[in-house]
Amino acid sequence: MDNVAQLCEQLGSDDQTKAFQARRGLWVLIAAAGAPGKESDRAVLASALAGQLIARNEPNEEQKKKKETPGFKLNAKARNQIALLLADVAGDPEIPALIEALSDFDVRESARFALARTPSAAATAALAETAQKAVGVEYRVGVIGSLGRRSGNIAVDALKQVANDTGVEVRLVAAESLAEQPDAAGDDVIAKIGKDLGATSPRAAKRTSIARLQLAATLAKAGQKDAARGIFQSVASDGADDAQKNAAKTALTQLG
Amino acid sequence: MTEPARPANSESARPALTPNRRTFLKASAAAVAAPTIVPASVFAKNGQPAPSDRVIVGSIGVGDLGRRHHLAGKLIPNKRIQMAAVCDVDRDHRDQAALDVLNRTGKKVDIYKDFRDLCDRQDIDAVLIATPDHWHALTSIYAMESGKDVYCEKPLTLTIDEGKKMVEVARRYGTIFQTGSQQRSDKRFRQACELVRNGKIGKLQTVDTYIGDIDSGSWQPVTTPPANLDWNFWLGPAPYADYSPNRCHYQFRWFSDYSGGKMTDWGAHHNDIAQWGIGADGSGPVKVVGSGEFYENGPHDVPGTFDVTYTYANGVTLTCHAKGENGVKFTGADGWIFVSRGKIEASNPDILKIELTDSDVRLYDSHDHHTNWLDCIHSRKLPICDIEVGHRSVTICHLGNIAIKLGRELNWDPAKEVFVGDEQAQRLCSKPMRAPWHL
Repeated sequence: MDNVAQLCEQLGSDDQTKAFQARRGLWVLIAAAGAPGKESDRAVLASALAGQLIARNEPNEEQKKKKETPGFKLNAKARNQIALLLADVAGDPEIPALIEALSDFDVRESARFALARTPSAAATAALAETAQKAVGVEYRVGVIGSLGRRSGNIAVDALKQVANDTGVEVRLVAAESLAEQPDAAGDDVIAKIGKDLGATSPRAAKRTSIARLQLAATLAKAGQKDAARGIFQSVASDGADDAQKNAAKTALTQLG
Repeated sequence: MTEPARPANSESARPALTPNRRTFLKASAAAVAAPTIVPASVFAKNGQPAPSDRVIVGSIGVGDLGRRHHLAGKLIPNKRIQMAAVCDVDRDHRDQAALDVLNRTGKKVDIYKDFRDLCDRQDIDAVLIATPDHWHALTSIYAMESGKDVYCEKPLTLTIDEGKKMVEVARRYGTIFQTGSQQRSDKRFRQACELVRNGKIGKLQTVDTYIGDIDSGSWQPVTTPPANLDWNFWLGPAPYADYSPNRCHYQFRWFSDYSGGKMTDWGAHHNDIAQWGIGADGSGPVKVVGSGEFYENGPHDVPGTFDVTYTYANGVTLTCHAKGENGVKFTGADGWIFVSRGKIEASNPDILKIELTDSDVRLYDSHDHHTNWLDCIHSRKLPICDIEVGHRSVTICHLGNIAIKLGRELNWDPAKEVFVGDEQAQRLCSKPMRAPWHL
């Protein structure tokens, strides 16, 4: 994996051509290792990339004395690219490195991309925890949006938690993400967000109505037709705009 | 015989479409007018469509294609359309577009930077979207959720999952959605597909599409974005990148963060015709394998040249080539037909003289893509290149790009729209979005 280490360093080159060549070179390795039947190659490669993502310099004497953490071995540009590449190859063993990268401000958005694309319960748990604990509205909004694409209790519980956040955009994206989960109880949460925010923001009211319709559609798809019907009926008769009301009425006709 | 109904798309299977603002106004006017004689001047004047028949349109993305082709060429001259607003993240683009409308119609339109502000307007019936590809899904979805009918340029999406979501939303809101693969409204392409579908070249065996290659591009130093451009908004859901002019207007097509290269840019035209001729709308191939060349030094990171072969469940193969004369060639057991913009040829010229009978399969007949969209906004019937058609056609292109990228044969389930037995390929069906954007 010496070649991987070298290419990872080259990703951070100021020479755009060299950086591009490194990215392309790593991608060829990733594609080859990602083929069915190549799981052991893939594990080795992913591990090497994850190691480079969080690799730090040897501490100098001063740092040793003060017990300071030394800086990253690779620059932010390289680390970002590594995180984005991990999105196509990471598995459970790489989750700890990606979690560590979430606290690296220069890289955390790319690390979130990698977690979002890694289909594992550990990745979901990492997104759930980050959604609740991370600092920065815009960053959290991205994490919550990714969490909405996952399923299961861990995701749903975290989304319900952040639905009570103080940040307006955090709450709205939580509503939109809950709408993707086949959990009928999400409707009360979304409706409350609409009630809290809708009075002062027509767009917030609209977004929560859209989210309720999405939730109803998600439930109907999951076979929870009675719950879906209830939400459609509610949207059709409440203060939602015409587009939402019309869509709800159409959906009710389809549901029968 | 008419074209067989597409299961997911057939008009009979489709949910009853909801009235939009325009159809509601028209119905209300008719109800009020019924007991009395209404002066024609109220509804129509000097041969102009009645106000209630005009579709009020907002244009989102008014760069070169949006402004010159759609706005100036199709929207402003159309008497059935009233332009209400233009929107672009480039101030020069949006201001110039508004000026075009003023100069041509004498009317001012509202100008927006944020598409959501335009979509939130209750008085706008429909939007035409000609943004860069990485914005198509987000703008279309918000427009549909706002009750607008949509015309969206091809390629419809950046990823397969975006398309699946868009189809769901369109059906939920009863949106009249025209995908801008306008070759379907060209008589030559329809003729070719009708002849193929009716077995006039014998049993269809292969389809070859030729869509062009690209060069490597050249690196430019990163620089400060021009003052007229909101670069962060332009990037939107794509990963952050420093600005350089050749990543942005038009050239974005050759960067995978924003587009799928020639494969989606032209594949969304010719592979769309291939799907039509094969009769695979609403479906797709079951296998895909491809090879391509990437430029090792960049900056363009989409395939420069390629050959991708798709196998359909009925044994027909489609091969999409970068190189070769631009067009689509259908080869059957008894002959071939080649069709491109402005040309149709056959192995035997007599094939092209065949007149179809009532018992033959007849395909959707549209002579102008924008007119068809407007007709359907009025009738609430499916347009010729409905969203499912556009989604499935660009899915072919995305499958090709994924197969080239991975360099191995992939199995695709067109019913579930997932890869079979290849977890890494499945990952490439979606892309996380940069905050605050999400699907």
